[in-house]
Amino acid sequence: MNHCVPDFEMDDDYSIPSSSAHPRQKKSLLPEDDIMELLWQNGQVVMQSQNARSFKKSPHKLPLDNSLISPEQQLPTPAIRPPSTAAAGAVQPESQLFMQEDEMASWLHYPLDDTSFDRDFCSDFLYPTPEVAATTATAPPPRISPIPVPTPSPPRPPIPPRRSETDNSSAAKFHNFVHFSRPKVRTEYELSNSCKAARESTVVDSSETPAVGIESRVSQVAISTAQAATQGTAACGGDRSAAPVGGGKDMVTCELTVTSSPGGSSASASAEPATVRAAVRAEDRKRKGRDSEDAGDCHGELLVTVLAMAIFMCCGILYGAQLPIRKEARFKLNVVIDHADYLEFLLLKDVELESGDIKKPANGTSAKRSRAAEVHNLSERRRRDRINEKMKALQELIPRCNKSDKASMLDEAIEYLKSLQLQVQVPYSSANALFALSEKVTIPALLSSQRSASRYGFTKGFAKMAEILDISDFILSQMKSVVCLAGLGMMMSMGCSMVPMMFPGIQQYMPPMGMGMGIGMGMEMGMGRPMMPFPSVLANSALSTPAAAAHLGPRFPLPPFHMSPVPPPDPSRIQACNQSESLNNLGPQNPNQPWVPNFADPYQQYIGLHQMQVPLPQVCLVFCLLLHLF
Amino acid sequence: MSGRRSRQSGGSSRISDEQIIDLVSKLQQLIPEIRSRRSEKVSASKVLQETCNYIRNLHREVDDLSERLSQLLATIDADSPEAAIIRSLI
Repeated sequence: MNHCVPDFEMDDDYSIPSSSAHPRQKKSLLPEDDIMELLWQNGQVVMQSQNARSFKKSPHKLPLDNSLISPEQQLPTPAIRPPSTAAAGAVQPESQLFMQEDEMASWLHYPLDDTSFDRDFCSDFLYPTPEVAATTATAPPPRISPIPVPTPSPPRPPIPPRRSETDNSSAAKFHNFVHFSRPKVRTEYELSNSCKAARESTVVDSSETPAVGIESRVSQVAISTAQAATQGTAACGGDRSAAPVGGGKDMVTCELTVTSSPGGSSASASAEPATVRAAVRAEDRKRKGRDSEDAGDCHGELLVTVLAMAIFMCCGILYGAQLPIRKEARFKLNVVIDHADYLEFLLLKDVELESGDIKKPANGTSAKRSRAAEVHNLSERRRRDRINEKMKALQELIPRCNKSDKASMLDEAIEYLKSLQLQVQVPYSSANALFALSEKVTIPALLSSQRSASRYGFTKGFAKMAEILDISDFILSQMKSVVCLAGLGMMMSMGCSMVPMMFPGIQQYMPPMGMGMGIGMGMEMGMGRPMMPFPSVLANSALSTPAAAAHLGPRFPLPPFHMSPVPPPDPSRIQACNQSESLNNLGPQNPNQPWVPNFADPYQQYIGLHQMQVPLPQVCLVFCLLLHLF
Repeated sequence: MSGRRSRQSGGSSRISDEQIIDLVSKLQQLIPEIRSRRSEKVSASKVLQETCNYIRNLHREVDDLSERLSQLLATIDADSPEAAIIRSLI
């Protein structure tokens, strides 16, 4: 093999410049080189010197009349540059290898008259060949680049240089193989084609070795197999359509069949048609499967398998052909296998490189994993988008929100929501009370209605206020929309303070009124009304109290801004809260005030104080103080 | 908390995931719908959605109340304390 490699390289170098000029391996029979290329041209195996071989990157639809690149040339190339042109490289060395043997020379002169298969089997391979050739022509550094040889596609940086090397040889080979492989799918299997080409070159080589005419088909199969192998390895971005690879794989199987079948020339002959048929079928099947495979099937094992198959087939063919090339075939097999590994390595490398463009591997855990990851990413992205748009909507709802980052925006949203809640509670209850008031009901009626209204409003309002109370100080501290809160706090404190005062003198009637009065007082205070009457009310009997309450009741709405100064008296409020405790105690005694406990409880929670004993005078004092604030 | 992971999320935004989770949970508690349910399966998206809806509802309520208050104001004499109260509310 060693000798092959250097030879190959040299040949490649030679061939590159010269071949580049050739649009397609059309057939330039330049037998001067010892390494002749068997170019498949329209089913005809044309011998072409390696130099003459030009790696033209033929477009996807390479005409089927690609000359059959001498597998020999191709083989040597692959041998030397397996990585570059996947198949081509692999194949070429092989061919070279074989060519080294004189025995192989006989292959070159066997025209392949099977055109149809060329088209099928080698098209893919052949097509990329021109590309490869082009690439190699451009960049002749004989580096072992990854397999994707066929196209100079940018995503495969390593390939081009490689390609340059093998371009000439591999291009030709690819070219040939392209014909072999299915010509239809060409687009995405360039890479695979290249690989295939390498392989196919090998296969072709082997196929060439045996009776060209007969073996052509078999070789085609082999080639396709090789292609498949190469493609499999090079699948990743498959320069060529997966078809070739897929076909190649099938071909491989077919080849195996063929190999097995040929027991002799006759066998080979029979195998040939069988192979051909199988190949064709395989191709079709492969194509479909290949597409998926090619999408991401860059497994080296496939390549190896294909190569092995190809080799076997070649061996079989050789055997069947009873050509003295068996040795070479075996040798080639080894070479192919070696190259297969190399190709596999290259393909994998190439796969990584082309991961960007490579479609997700269609099979294997890696494919599934990548697909799952992609699916996960997509869903994650969708979720995030949903959240972001909702945040934007929220931002629009919040007035004067000029924050751009999420956290502060959420902060503002929270505060705004709280203030809004407070805002709604007070007007709500006050509106109810006012409505009742506007009804011009009698005081008692008003009281009761107020009570009910207040109960209704307060129940809801206070319930909410209570809930909000825990945040009230938060808002207060921020001086934001303290309005209602302050008022509420005031009211509640008033109410709380009122309650104990009322309690002694009031039966079940008072507490509710106390609340109402408290609130009313709060409101009154907000209004700046003299609260003096209130203490009198406090001191008075229940009768006056209800009246006062009734009087004060309507004034539920707290002037938001007036209450600002009020809230600060926390101690009083706390005391008031203590009163709420007592109020709580009153709860069971106040059937009219189901909300009292409700009110008291949240308030208690908020305050966290459980002082039950607040001296009344103290409370009164505090209350008066509060009153005097206004 | 903010400093713990502030670096992680880009230099410009010092918001950490925990912060956001905190805020979302706070928001969640404010919204009666979600709070009453108290289920575990409240995603941030749902919380945000409910918040938007809730705020819209509150807006509507406030507008409604204001309208009622203004109506009330119209019915009672402007000098009455109630009117003052109502005016203060609106």
